Amino acid sequence: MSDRVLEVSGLSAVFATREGTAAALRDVSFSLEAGQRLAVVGESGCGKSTLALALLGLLDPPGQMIGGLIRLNGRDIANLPERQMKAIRGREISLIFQDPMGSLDPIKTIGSQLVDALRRHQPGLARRAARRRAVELLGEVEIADAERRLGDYPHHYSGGMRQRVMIAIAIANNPSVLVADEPTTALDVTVQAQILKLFERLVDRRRIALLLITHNLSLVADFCESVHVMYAGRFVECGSVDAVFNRPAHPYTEALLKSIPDPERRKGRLPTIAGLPPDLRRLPKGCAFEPRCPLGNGRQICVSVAPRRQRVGGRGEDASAECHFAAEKMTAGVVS
Amino acid sequence: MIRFFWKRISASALSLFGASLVAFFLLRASPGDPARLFLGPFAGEEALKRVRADLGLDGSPLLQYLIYVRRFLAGDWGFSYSTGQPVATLIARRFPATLELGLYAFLIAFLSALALALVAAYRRGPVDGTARAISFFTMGVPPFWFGLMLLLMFFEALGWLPGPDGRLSIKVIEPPRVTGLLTIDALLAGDFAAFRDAFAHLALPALTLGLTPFSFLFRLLRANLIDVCREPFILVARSGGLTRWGAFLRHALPNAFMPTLTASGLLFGQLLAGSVLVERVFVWPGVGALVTDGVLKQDFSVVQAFILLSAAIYVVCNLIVDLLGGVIDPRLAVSGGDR
Repeated sequence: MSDRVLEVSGLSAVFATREGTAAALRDVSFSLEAGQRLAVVGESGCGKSTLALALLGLLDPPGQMIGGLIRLNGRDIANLPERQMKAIRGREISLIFQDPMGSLDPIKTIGSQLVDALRRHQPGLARRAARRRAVELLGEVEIADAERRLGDYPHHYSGGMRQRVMIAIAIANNPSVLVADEPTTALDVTVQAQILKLFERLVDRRRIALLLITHNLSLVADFCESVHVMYAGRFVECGSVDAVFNRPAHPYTEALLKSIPDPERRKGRLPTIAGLPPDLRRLPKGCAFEPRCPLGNGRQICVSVAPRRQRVGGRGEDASAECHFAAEKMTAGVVS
Repeated sequence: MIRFFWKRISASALSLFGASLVAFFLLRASPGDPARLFLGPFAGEEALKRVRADLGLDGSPLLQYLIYVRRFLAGDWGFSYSTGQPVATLIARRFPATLELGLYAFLIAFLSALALALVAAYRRGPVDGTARAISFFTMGVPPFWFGLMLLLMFFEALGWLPGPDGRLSIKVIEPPRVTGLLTIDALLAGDFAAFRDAFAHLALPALTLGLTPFSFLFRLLRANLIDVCREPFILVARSGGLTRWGAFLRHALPNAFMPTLTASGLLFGQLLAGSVLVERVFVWPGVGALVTDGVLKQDFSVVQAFILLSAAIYVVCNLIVDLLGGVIDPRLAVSGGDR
C-alpha cells in the first residue's frame, strides 16, 4: 500500500487527575490511505476525542501522550517540537469539531478567518489572492453567494453553514488527512445528510483520508468503508463496515448495534448496554468490558486475563477483535 | 450600525439630562440660603431679595432650572461664594491637573493589568497565583495609606522622587500652557528638564490612584481570558496552525477584551471624579481640593458644577467605550440597536 498517509501504532495517552492517572488511550494502532474513510465509534468518554487531539499534538495538560508513533506522510510527528507541529496542523492534517456554533471566532468575519487560515500556511499569498481563494473555497463547500457573504460574521450564518465554513477552513491548505470529531452531531438531520454528502464529494475529489469520529453508528454504516470500535481507550474490534455490522466479533460491538433504534421494530424497549464504561483510573485486570458483557459474565479468563488482539477469520488482514471468545462467537454465529 | 450609534448617543444625552436634574434639585433641597451666604449674616431683607432676583432664585423651580441649564451651557457656572471668582475659571484652572493625574493613573493601571492578566492567564500555575496575590493586595489596601507609604519610601528614605509639593518643583519654570497637561506642554516646548520634573511629580500619585482600577481591570481581564480560552474556536485556531500563544493573542484577547473596555470607561470616569483623597495626600492642585472646600463652605455653585461636570465626563467615557465596543464586537451593535 503505497498510498498510506497516516500510520499510528501503539498510541497511548493518559490524563492526570486528582485520584490517579486515567488511561485515555491504550495502545491504539491503525492506518489510513488516501481517499479512505475510516470511522471510530464508541460511547462518550471512551477516548475518541482524545485520539483526535493526540493525532494533532494538541493534547494539553492534564492530558499527555505517553507512547506511540504517528507517521504522517512518512514522518513521525509524535514527538515533534511545537514549532514544527504548527506547520503541520491545518496543512497536512486538519481537524473539524462537533460544535459549529463555537468553532468560529465570533468577532472576526468569515472572510478574514478563511484568509487567515490560508495565509498562515502560505505566507507568500497576497491578501487579494487569498480572498479569491476564500471565495472559491466557500463555493466548494456550497455556500451560495460566497463573494458577498465573505464579509459576514459567524452570527449571520446558520449552524449548517458554519460547519461548511469549518470544512472550508479545514481543507483550505489541501491536507492529506482530515479528522472529523462528531462533525454532524450538533446539526439537525437534514443538514447532517447534506454535510455528509459534501464530505463524500470532497474526500473523493481531493483524495483526502478521512477519520470520522462518532457515536452515531448509522452514520458510519452509510458513509465509511472501515470501522474501529473503541472501548475504554482501546480498539476492541476493527474491520470493514459490512463485516463488522453484519457479524460483529466482539460482544461490545454487538451490544452497540442492538442499541440503534430501528424504525421497523417500534414495539418494546430499546435494548441498552447495562452498566457504565469502566473507570479509566481503575481498569479491571482482565477484559475492560467484562463487567457489562453477556458473554464474559464472570468467566475466570475474562476477569483475570486481558484479551489480546486476534485476527478474525475470513475478513482480511486488517480485521481484528479483542475478545477471548471472538473465534468461538464467529463459528457460533454461522450456526445460528 | 448607524442606528446603534444614534441610540447610544441619545441614551447618553438622556443620562446627562437626568444628571443635571439631580445636581440642580439636590442642592436646592439642601439647607442654607445662597443669598444669605453671599451677603453675610448682617444683610437686610431688601438686599437679600435683590440678590435672590439676581441669582434667579425668586422664580418657580422649573424656571430656575431652565435658567441654570442655559447659563451652564453658555459657560456661566456661577460665582464661588467663598472666593468670589467665577466657578468656570476656578475649575478650568485646576481641572488639567486632575486630568493629567487621572490619565497617567489610568495608563499605569491599564497597561500593567493587561500585561499581568496576559501572563497569568497564559501561564496559570504559580505565576497566576502570584499575580492574583498581588491583585488581592492592591485591591484591599487603602490608597491614601499606600500613597503615604510610597512617600515615606521613595521621598523620605530613598530620596528618588519629589515629595508632596504639587505638580512641579518651585525652581522649575512652568512651560507655556497649551493643553494644561504639564508633561505634554513641556514636550511641546522642548523643555525636557520640565518634562522630567513633571513626570517625577506624577509618578507616585498616579501609581497610588491607579491601584484600585489596576486590581479591578486585572481580575476582570484574567477571568475573561481564562473563560475564552475554553471556547472551541481557540482549539480550532490551534488545530489550523496557530501556536497556543498565537491563538491566545489573536483570538482569546480580542474576545476577552470587551468587558474590560466597558469597565475601563467607568473606571476612567471614576478616576477623574474620585481622586479627592489622593490629591489631598500629595497636595495635588486639582479639582479635588476645590470640591472638598466647596462642600465644607456650602459653596453651592462649585459643588453643583463639579457634580454635573463629573457626570458629563462619566457619560462621555461610557459613550466612547460603548461605540468602540460596537465596532469591535458586531453582535453588540445588532442587539443594542434593537433594544
